[in-house]
Amino acid sequence: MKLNRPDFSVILDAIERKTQPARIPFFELFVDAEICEEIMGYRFAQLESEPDRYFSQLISFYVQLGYDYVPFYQSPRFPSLSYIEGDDTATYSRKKRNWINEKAGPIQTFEDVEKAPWPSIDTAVDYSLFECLGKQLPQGMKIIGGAAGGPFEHASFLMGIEKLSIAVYEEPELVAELFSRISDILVGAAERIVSIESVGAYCFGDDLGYKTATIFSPKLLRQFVFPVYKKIAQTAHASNKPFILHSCGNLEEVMDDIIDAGVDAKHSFEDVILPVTEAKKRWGNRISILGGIDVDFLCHATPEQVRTRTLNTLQACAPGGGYALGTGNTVTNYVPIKNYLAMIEAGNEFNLSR
Amino acid sequence: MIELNDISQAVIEGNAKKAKELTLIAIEKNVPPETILHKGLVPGMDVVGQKFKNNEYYVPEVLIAARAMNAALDILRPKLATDAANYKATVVICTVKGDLHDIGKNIAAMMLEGAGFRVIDLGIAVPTEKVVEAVKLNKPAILGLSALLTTTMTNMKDIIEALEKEGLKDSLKVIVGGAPITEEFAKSIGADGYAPDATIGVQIANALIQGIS
Repeated sequence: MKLNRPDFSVILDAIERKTQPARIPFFELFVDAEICEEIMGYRFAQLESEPDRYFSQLISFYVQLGYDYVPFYQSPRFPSLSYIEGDDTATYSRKKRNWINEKAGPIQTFEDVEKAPWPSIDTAVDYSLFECLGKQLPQGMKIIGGAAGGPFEHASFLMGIEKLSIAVYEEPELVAELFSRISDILVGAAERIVSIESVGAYCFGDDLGYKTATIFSPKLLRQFVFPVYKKIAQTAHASNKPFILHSCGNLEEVMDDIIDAGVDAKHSFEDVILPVTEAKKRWGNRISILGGIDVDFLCHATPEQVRTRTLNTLQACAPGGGYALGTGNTVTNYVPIKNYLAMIEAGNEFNLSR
Repeated sequence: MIELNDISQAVIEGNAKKAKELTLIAIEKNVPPETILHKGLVPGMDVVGQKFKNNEYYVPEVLIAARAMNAALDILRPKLATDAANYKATVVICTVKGDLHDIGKNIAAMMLEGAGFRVIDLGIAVPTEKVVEAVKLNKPAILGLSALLTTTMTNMKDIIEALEKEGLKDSLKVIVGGAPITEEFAKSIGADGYAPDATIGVQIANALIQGIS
């Protein structure tokens, strides 16, 4: 399976679009643990109890699959969220899965904001874990990651998306204060994380849209969200590291804002919204385009169809650089492993043929 | 003198307080509740739907408009009762088994209610047998099914097959929607309509009930 030695400069070239990479690198926001374990053939250690062993296993997976980096994220220790539990319907099921409660969160009033146990920058995430992972990385490999989740996701999780939607009109000062608190922590954490030598690029996911538009209007996103992206991009760039944004949904109306905020690469593309080949044509000269092998397609296609689709995508997206191969979202625990591997093998086949 | 346009405007602006006040005044002035519904609230939500479709309104604007509509509807509902003549048709709507995603289905339900449908919202993660029971009980013209996950959208097919087995499928039209759903998928499972978003869902519901009648 493995054809490449990890070489972070290859994916960095793709993200920064400075030169055409020597080969097309692979990129995922992350691969679900169930998929990693199924491919490796063993259960991974728990990060909390055996970090060194867990990191060793995580690195082995990403090296074996041919990645130049290991994705690693730590959720900021924001006030506890409200979840609802449901059955995990995935192929490689974790039995139960928690979903954020869309109707409620811990922050509903100014009093909640004041009383909530907000972390300091020092305690927002466990920075030592990034150092610990970094120490185990083989030569040429780096970390891509950061404090998980962007400002929009955190605000909607902390308040509940329905309440947040109402509050932007009825209590705009409360919403501004909430975003301000989130921003301070996210930017502060980013500053600490990008200063770690083994972190090669900063990245988080912040889903802004659904099938036909953004959830909030571009005007509201410009008010509350994009200024945070800009600060994080500036923070990353001050350490000469790029900033990658994973964001699902139809972002057509705000792609200029995302590019202007200084985001170096955009990940997450869905066929029902805009095929990645079109995204590359439209924005590829201004921002790096990552992934785009549609997850729904991966779930229902045959391995041969995946191979054909991957090779066609690479033929369309590789010229000029600024592209890395990967799924349209993440390698979820319901993507058939044979199809995920077919995508990777087609990437290797393409690279060997160049 | 109450202008029903003012009630429409209060809905469009998402002004719940004003929508409620104007509705109460209209009732006091003996404006028939069904007139307030069909000449005040429905045209207001129709504008909201158009603005949503044209990306002039987004989720927050739709939610506050729907809340204004509901503030007025709370006053009208007891007076309208469930007399079928007051509604275009009944819609049963839910997110399918295994799927806990709510907001897309909620917006579709609000839009349908705002368009003059009687909406029975079964909630999230609804088992197939509960959907079939609700269809038997409420005899809807439309069944709206939502799924956000690739792994749960297959439950839409199970529901349609269960309706066929019970001899209920021909009595209604099924509209499906949600992030992974495509026109092709909708056709493959025997759905009658595919709604990429809530506004189009309302348009399809309107077209389908005209076809039925």
